[in-house]
Amino acid sequence: MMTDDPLAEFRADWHRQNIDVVAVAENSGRWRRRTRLLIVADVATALVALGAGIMFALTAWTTHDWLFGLSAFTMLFVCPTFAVLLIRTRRRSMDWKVKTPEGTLQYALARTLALSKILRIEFWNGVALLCFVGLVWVCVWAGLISRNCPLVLMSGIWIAIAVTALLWVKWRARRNAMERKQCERLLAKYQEAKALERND
Amino acid sequence: MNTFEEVIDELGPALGRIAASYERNAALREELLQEILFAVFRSLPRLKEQAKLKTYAFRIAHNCCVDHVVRHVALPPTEDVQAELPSDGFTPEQILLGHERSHRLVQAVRRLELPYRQVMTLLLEDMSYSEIWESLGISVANVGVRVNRAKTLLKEFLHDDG
Repeated sequence: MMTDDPLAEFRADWHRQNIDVVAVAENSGRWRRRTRLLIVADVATALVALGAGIMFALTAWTTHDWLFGLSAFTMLFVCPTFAVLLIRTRRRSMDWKVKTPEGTLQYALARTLALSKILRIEFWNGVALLCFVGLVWVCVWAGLISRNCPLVLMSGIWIAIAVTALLWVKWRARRNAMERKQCERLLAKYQEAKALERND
Repeated sequence: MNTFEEVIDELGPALGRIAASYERNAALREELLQEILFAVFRSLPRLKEQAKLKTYAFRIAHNCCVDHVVRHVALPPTEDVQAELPSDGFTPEQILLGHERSHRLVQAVRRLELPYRQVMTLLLEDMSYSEIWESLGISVANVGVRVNRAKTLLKEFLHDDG
């Protein structure tokens, strides 16, 4: 098989691969819809959060209920901010043409570093939610909020959300660390290749 | 302006071969190819010269693949399923031999480190040094150095394998 320059044979063998693009074409519609749907879902989440936030704020204003006030603050400021950040990130993640493969790795490395910071914020977000539940029950204890069945139920839901978020953060942080190591390893290979090119 | 279907017809097989040089798992390979095709399609409005579609698409493909390699680092390694080869006009022996050689080559290409794998896959897609330079953003002289090194490594891997 080997000759001095086996490129022609390599090319023939390479082009002999059978790539089934028909199946890919059939699934492509679903893929495009999914990406559009994710952005629509982000927008919808932000709008629902805004609507609920306004409703909670009005209720808090009329009833002077601290629980609605705290909920309005969360809905109006935290949820839309996260939704906007998600949409911007999704749009930017699709922009491939400006990068080289090495640039993509540097971008991915920066992304992992940014994500580790975001995960730290998410961790404190979970902790804040637990504190929020604690604060609510302090208010109950102080007589500012009346203890009732929906409040107990909501507290259970909030605690479940916070604990799930904290577990997810832990899992994602471990995976993110692996991705960061992979970026660093692959970037080192580019540096090695460049060093060899300089020597040549 | 190209439609999504035109991009698939024109570049689908070549982009599929590039995806295959990065991903062994058939299902993930298909997913990666879809991601590449979609990224190419989304970037088409920014393509200034239609004649450079191939170079442009291959750059996007390699960027998507590099990102895929990073994102899937946590997944356990999977079995390499051999793709079937077209059987038109070949004897069973020729098909088997061709299949075997093609499979060995793809496996050897996957063993190349990324800087060498990228120049080699583009070279195997019949691209010139200047087109590889445009796709990867490295100088033509460095393309030559990487191609030579990639060829040497590829021969070694095929020799070890054989």
